[in-house]
Amino acid sequence: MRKILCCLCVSLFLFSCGKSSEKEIVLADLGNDLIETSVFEGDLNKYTDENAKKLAKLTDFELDEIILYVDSGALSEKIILIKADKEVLQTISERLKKENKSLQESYSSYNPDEVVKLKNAVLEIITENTLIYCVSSDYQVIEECIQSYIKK
Amino acid sequence: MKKIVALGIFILFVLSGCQEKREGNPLKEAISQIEKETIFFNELIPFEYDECFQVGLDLDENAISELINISYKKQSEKEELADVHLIFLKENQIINDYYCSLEEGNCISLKNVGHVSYNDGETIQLDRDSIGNYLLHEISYEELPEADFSNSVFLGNSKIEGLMNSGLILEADYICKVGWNVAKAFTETDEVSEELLIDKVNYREYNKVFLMFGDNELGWAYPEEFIEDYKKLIHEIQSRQSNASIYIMSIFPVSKKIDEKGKFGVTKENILIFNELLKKMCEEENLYYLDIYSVLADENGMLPDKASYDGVHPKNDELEKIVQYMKENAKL
Repeated sequence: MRKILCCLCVSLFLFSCGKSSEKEIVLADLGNDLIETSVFEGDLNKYTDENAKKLAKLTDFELDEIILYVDSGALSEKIILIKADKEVLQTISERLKKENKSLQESYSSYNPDEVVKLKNAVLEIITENTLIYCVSSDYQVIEECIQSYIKK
Repeated sequence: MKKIVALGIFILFVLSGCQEKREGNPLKEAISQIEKETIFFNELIPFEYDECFQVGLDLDENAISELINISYKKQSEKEELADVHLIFLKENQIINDYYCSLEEGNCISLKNVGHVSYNDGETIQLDRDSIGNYLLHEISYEELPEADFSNSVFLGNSKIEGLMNSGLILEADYICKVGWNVAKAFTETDEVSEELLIDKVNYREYNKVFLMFGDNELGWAYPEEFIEDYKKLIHEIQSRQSNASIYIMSIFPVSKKIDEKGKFGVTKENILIFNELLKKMCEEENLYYLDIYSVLADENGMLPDKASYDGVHPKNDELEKIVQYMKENAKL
């Protein structure tokens, strides 16, 4: 009986998760929520469309939408929010991982605090067509913010 | 014996400014200028140009062709055989020029073969720089419009990355990496593509190249090595972008706190030493030096605390000052 109850609970949990992942994500709203958390030391500049693609070095991808927040004071802090096809997001995700690793090397001798931020970066495909990449001073706050947005 | 009237038509390609002013058909305006024959530089033109028109317009290839035809026609009406030399300028840099012989009925681009003028059938090789100097004399530097960065590329370290991310010059291209220095000029690769950063200079033809190095080299025991490596990089860029003006950006000041720590040799004293070497290098190599240090430094030669989060990298407000300085000092 307990096993059945457990199964039911897990199923319900998964069902609810599945439902929440289908929520239509509005990138601008999620971006606002993230930027309002106090986990960014720098003043991040916001870019959209082609400018965001150029600065995020993603001009070779077909994207439905992109928002980029990036620091101009040489901190590694950054938010990238993207809507695109699932396959595209997978490729971008791999590229961002690679870039993140390379940046860790660049910052290691130069500003070790940034390496910690990069190591703890949040990189998730939060719905089928939405990716979030966020480098901040507190990844837990960012994850909570994302969950809170999804549950809204 | 040819009756030659060399007609020099100097078309100033001052893209941004002219586009703002321009109304209607640019070609018609250019033709109108020619027909009015309003501007004569007889006394100033050092070579064989009897008449010279200055037309401040942005013309496409079709318009240029038509302009050549109109020029021919006009000279024919005067019952003179004309050779037409069109020089297209952008911010005083010759970006293209054509020699057109009415007698032969053809028109060739001289961009890659240097200036040629025809005087009574003789071919004279002209000094491209002389023409440039004449024009500089005729149009004062202050009169030139602010620098346009649309055909520019910025290469350098985290300072350039900061400039890129500020979005203040989005029209330019950027080749930059945190920690990049001149010792790694030919070996540093892109974070993602792993392409050599130096090879990105070949992506397209630029008319201005801005270089920002030195911060990551301040701790080097021999500053002369920095200059030697920097020169190698500059020569390589010159070989790949032979028509581009090269601007060397000075090393920025740092905050008092950073100066006192002196980590990695980052001190005001070293910055001043390196900047002097950069200035000297620019004189020797005929490059443009941009004194960004003076733009940002306070009366003590320091970057004010409020100007930066980390005492090294300027905030957006300071970057705006730099961009304004460059608009005023990187016009050529």
